[in-house]
Amino acid sequence: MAKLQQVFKRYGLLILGILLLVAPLVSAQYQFYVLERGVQNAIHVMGLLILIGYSGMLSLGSAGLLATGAYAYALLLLKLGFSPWLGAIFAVVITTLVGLCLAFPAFRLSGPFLAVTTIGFGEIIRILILNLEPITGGAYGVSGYSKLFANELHVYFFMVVALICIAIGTERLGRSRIGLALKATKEDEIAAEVMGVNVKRAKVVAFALSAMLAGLSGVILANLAGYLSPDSFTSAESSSYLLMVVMGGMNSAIGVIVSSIVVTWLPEVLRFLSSSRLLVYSLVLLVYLRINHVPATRERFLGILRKFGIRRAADAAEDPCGERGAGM
Amino acid sequence: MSKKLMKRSLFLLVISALLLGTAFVASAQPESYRIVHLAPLTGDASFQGQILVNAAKMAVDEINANGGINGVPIEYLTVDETSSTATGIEAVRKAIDLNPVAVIGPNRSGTILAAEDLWREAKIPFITDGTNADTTRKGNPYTFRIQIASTYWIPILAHTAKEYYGVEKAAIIYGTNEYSKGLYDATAPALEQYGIEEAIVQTYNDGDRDFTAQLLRIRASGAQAMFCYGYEAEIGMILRQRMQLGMGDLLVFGERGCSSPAVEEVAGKENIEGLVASTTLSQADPDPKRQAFMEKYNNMFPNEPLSPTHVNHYDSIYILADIIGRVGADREAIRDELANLDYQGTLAHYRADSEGNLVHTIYTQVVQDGEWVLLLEENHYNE
Repeated sequence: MAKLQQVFKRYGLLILGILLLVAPLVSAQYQFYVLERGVQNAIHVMGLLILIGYSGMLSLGSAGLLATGAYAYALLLLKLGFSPWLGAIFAVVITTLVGLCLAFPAFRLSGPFLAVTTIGFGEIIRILILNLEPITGGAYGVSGYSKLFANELHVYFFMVVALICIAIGTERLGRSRIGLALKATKEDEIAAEVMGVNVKRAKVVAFALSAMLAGLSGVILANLAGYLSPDSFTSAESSSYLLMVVMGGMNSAIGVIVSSIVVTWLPEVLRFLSSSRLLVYSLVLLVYLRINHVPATRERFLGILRKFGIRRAADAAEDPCGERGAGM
Repeated sequence: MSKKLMKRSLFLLVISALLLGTAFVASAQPESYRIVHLAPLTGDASFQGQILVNAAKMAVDEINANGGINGVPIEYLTVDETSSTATGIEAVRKAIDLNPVAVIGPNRSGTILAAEDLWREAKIPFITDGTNADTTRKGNPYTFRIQIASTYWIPILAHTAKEYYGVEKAAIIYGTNEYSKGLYDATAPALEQYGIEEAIVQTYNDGDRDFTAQLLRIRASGAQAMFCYGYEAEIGMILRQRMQLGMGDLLVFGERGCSSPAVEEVAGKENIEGLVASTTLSQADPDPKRQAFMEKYNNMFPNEPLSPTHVNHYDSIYILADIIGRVGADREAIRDELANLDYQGTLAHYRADSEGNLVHTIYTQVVQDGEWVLLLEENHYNE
């Protein structure tokens, strides 16, 4: 059992990657599409992992960056006649630049103030898209742009390979100089600055990387859906991305991939609850935070696990060796 | 070969033929006919979603209680289309995956435009109800519409404004969603056609709660009438704030959404006096069959009062049941029948035109002393 856990820990990403690559063979068309959306979300959420998980800067406007990437891709192709791959590269670059602009308020703001700023940013992007009708098509949305791959399956494989590469990169970044600087900033900004960490640079890197991944995810979204409209980028979407980061453990790339796919599935599984399913999101988040961040509840939860004879799992959870400790 | 063996093999042959025959009959008579209904049950458009489902469910229950279609019951499944286009596409994929004989919905024009390729490939007939005129102009032979396109609603409103109310100068206010935008796009040509001057155009975003600025600008423009397009909640607020600003003499013309009881609820009964709206079914229609339907609906769902333009799917189910009863579960045959439809339903007479539009009668009604009064009835059928 312990050995198995070690294997999972070491080769987790590889196993996950292989599982994702064989998934299209066993799933029906509709389930496959939801999986595709899950993987696409995971790429976006990986950026939020760097921003929120590593550096502790709460962003609630990430749907705005996703929209920027998706619309930039579609409009570059439709209005300026770019080829799909060139359009994709430029869309990612544009999104990164837009995301960089967000880093400047982050120099001075933190906590709830930064969160409010990012909400505002997300809404501004959405309302701009809605009202800049001659360019963006407004409420009618945009469609009819060409895609990166003719075969839908190729988009998926491209996504999975990109996701695994990004996950490895993100994990390594977490242990690198910049990653440690970000984590230090999260713990105590002043202390980090005193220790010689260039806080501004760290913040700029975090925002740029997360915007870049949001842009890439947006380009893929445009490829998956074939149609873009502003109603896909509301602030409610931003909060479900937040749910994905938090449920993913805020510190692990594998966690983010799994939680992105699970949270993307949630509305599909909970369809029968209709409007009440929105409650379930908050409930999941609450329960998760109680168990993971309130020691008393955590103890009680582990006690219940032990009572039902799942001791080993409970003990393992109590001793999160290695990486998990670092972020707590 | 001995005679006995011959007899035995003949016996076996007959038995196997019989078995084969029953198997054939069993395959020709499925256990149920599956119809999937895509309706927005969550989000901004959810209040209409429930009414859409109620009306269709009513018809399904009636048919199944009377022995189904040639003895085979209808299996009716709903899939939440949600009010967002991205998740709407997922819902359409889910509906197609359920492998139905036909699908009712989607309701939102945005979802229809985004996902119509999916059912074109799957070759499943979809009876949609989005008003955006483009939805049936994509050359998709599997798309039908049991609603009236925005390009028909608005000329009637403009005509009514000019003929009955003598409006010379009109303002327009609409929400920035594809539904209201579609109505707005149809307005300018209609106003021009009837010689009404466009005084001012104002917009708002969905979820806005204060329309004072827009209303004051409309007052300053000197417009006699206001064409008002949007979802029920916002229209209700606009009507209420119009009275609060003392603009009671400004006439209001609205599209089908205005006939919904939700508008009355939000605006307050006293604030919708004089509101003119066009719809596909009028609460004031004297026809006994339609009155009976409305009464039955309101008795069955006292908490979700009938919105006249959202109950046509009651007839959609009857149309499909009629067709399936004649041609069976063959989707291609169902599509062909829909494309040549000529059917007298409870709520309207349904005829397919070349674009796949099934409904063509528009009623214009006005609120007088708190009750809807039928103003005129017009038929638009294009060959």
